[in-house]
Amino acid sequence: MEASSAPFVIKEEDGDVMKDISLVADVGVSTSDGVAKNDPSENIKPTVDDADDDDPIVASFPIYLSSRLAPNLHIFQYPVRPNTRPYTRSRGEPVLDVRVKPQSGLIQVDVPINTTQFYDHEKGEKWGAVDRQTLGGVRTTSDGYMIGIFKNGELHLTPVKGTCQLRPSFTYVDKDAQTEKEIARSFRQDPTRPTEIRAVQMTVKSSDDSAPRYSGALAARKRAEDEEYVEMHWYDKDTEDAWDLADHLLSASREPLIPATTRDEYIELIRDKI
Amino acid sequence: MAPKRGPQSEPSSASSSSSVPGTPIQPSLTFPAPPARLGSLSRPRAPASGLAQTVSVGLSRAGTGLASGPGSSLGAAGGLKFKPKLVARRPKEERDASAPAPSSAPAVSSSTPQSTRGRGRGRGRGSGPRGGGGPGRGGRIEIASTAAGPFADPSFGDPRGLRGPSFEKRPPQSEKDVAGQLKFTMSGMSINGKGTGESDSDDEAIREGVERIDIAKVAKVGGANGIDMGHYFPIRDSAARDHVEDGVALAEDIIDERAVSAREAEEFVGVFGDDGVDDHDLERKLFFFQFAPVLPSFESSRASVKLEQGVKQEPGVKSEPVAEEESPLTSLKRRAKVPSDSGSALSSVPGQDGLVGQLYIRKSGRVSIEWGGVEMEVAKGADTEFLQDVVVLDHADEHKATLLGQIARKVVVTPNIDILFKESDESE
Repeated sequence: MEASSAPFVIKEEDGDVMKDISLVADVGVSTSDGVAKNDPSENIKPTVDDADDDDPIVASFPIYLSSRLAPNLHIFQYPVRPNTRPYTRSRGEPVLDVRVKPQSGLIQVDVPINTTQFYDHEKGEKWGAVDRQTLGGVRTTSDGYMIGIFKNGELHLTPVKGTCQLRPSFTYVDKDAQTEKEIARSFRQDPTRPTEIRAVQMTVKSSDDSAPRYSGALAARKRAEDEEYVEMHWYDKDTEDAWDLADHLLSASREPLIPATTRDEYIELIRDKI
Repeated sequence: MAPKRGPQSEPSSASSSSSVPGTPIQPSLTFPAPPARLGSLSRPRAPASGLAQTVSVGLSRAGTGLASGPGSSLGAAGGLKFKPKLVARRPKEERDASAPAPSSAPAVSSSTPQSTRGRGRGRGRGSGPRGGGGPGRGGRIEIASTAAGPFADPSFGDPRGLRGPSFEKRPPQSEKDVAGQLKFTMSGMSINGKGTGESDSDDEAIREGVERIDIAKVAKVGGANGIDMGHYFPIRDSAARDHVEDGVALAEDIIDERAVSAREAEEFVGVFGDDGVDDHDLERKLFFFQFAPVLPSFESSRASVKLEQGVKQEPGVKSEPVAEEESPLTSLKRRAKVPSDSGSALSSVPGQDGLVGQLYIRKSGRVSIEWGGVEMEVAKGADTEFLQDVVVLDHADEHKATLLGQIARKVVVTPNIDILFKESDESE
C-alpha cells in the first residue's frame, strides 16, 4: 500500500482545499527502487521535469499496464442499442447465448425480444425466432485500444484484443427462405441421391485447387463458413465470475517497466505508421 | 407558382410598374395576364390561373383521356389477362361504372370494406363478375384500393386479434392520446405522469386498457434517468478497502484527499467524470482509452520476467515479484474461486505488467500522460449513445464469455508531437 500511495504525498499548507492541497509527484517513477532501475536505461528521461512553473502538476495517477486479460478482452458495440438499456440480467434483458468462430472472428449474440410489445406473433411463429433476436458481427483488431480502470489512485490499463459491432442479423429470415427453397426443390426432384455424391467429389477437388484462388472478402467468407461456431457460456455482469475476472484488470505487478524505445525511435515508429 | 410566373410576368409588370413603382399590389395586377398566355401550356402542369379550375380541368382531361384510350382498345382483350397487376385498369372499369351510381359507392366501401376487397380480386380474375361489382365502385377506386392493400385491412377486418382493437380505438382518441403521451414524457416518466391530467381521466382509462400505454413505459425504461452510471463496473472494493477493514485507514484518507483535489481540476472532470469526480464514481467506471496505434515499448523488467515464469508455474506467481498489496487480493480471490480459475489461458499468456507512466493533472486542469518517457495529451472522446460492453472471451479453455460492464467514457490519448520533436532536437 505504502509504495503505491507514495506519489500522492499530500502537502497541506492551509485549510483551504481549493489551491493548497497539491500532490507532489515524483517525476515519473513512484517506487524508490524504481528510480534506480529506470536510470540505467537512460533511454528516455521523463519529460515532465520541464513542466512550466505556472502550471504545476496538481495530482498524478501512476499508470500500470495489465496484461492478464489482454488476449481475451473485447469490446462489444451494439450500434442499435441505446446505452441506457444494457443487456444485463438486472435489467431483465440478459444476453442469452454467445457463439464465436475463433479463427474467422465471427461473433453472434442472442438477446431477448420483448414479446409483449410491438411484436408480431404471426411472423414470430413463422420465423421460429419467437423470443430472441440474434445480433452478429465480425471482430476487428485495432491497436491502441485499452480499457482503463481507476483503483486506489492508480490507473490500470489493459489492451483490448478486439472490438466487434453487433448488429441485428436476420438469419432466421434466411433460414426460412432457404428451407422453403429446399422444400420446393425436394418436391421438384425426388431422386437426388446421385447428385449429392457428385457434389461431394466436387468439393474435394475444389478445396485443393481453388483455395488459393480465393482472396480478400471471398476468402474471409469461405473461412467463416468452414468454421463452426463455438458455443460460449455467458456470465452476466454481476456474477461471481465477472467479479473475479474484473480483478484481473488490475496489474499483476507494481514494478516499473523499462522503456525500450527512445524518443527518436518513437518518432520513427510514428512516421512509419503514417 | 409565384417563382414560375416571376420571370415571365416581370416584363409586363415592368411596364405597368413604371407608373406605380414597387408596391405589393402590382403582382396582383399582373396576375391576370400570364395565366391567359400560359393557360394552354400550363394546364397539363396544373399551375396557371386558379388552382381549382386547372385541377378540375386537368382531372377531367386526364380522366377522359384514360377512359377513352384504354377503355376502348385494351378493355376487352388486355383487361382480362393483366387485371390483377395493374391499378390503372380499375379506374377505367369504374369509370364505365361510375356514371350510373356514383353516390352508392362510398356507402358500400365504407360499410363493407371486406366485400370491396373481394370484389377487387374477383375483377382481376374474370371480366364477368365485374358487372356485379360495378355499381359499388363508382369513383371510389382509390379508397377501395387502399382498403384492399395488405396493411389497410387488419384495422377494419376481423382477424389478427391484438392489433385490431388497438387500431380501432386509436382513431377516435388519437389526438388526446398523443397529448397524453406527451404529458407522460414531460411529466417525467414516473407513474405520476398519469395522474397529472385529472381531467383526462377518460383518456387514462382508455390508455390503460390499451397496450399502447406500453410505449410510455418503454420510454420510461429507456428514459434519461435510466442509466445507472454508478454500476457499470463490478470490480470489488479491492485490496485497499480490505486493508481498511483490517484497520489500516491510511489508504482511504489518501484517496479522499486526492479525490477532492482531482475534483477541482475541471478538465479532468470533463474527461473522466460526469458531474464531479469523486473517487467512488471514478473507480466504478470502465474507461475506453484510445491511444496512438504505436506506443513506446518496454523491456520486460526483471520483475515481469519473473512474473511470466511464475505464471507458467502458476502457484509461484504471487510469491515474490508481485507487489505486496496484491497478495491479499489474490489470496482472497483464490478463496472465493475454484483454484483452477486463474490457471486458465487467461493468465498464462506472457505479458507485461507493471508501471509504465503517470497520469498528470495540472493546476490549469490540463490532463496529460507520460508513457515510457513520451508525453501525451489526454482528451475526452466522443460520447456515444449506443451500448458498448466490455466482454472477456475465453474460447480456448472454458468457452466462457463474461460481461465485465459497460463502457462509461472514451478517452483519447495522443502523443504530444511538439514536445516530442523539441526534445529529440535538443538531444541531438
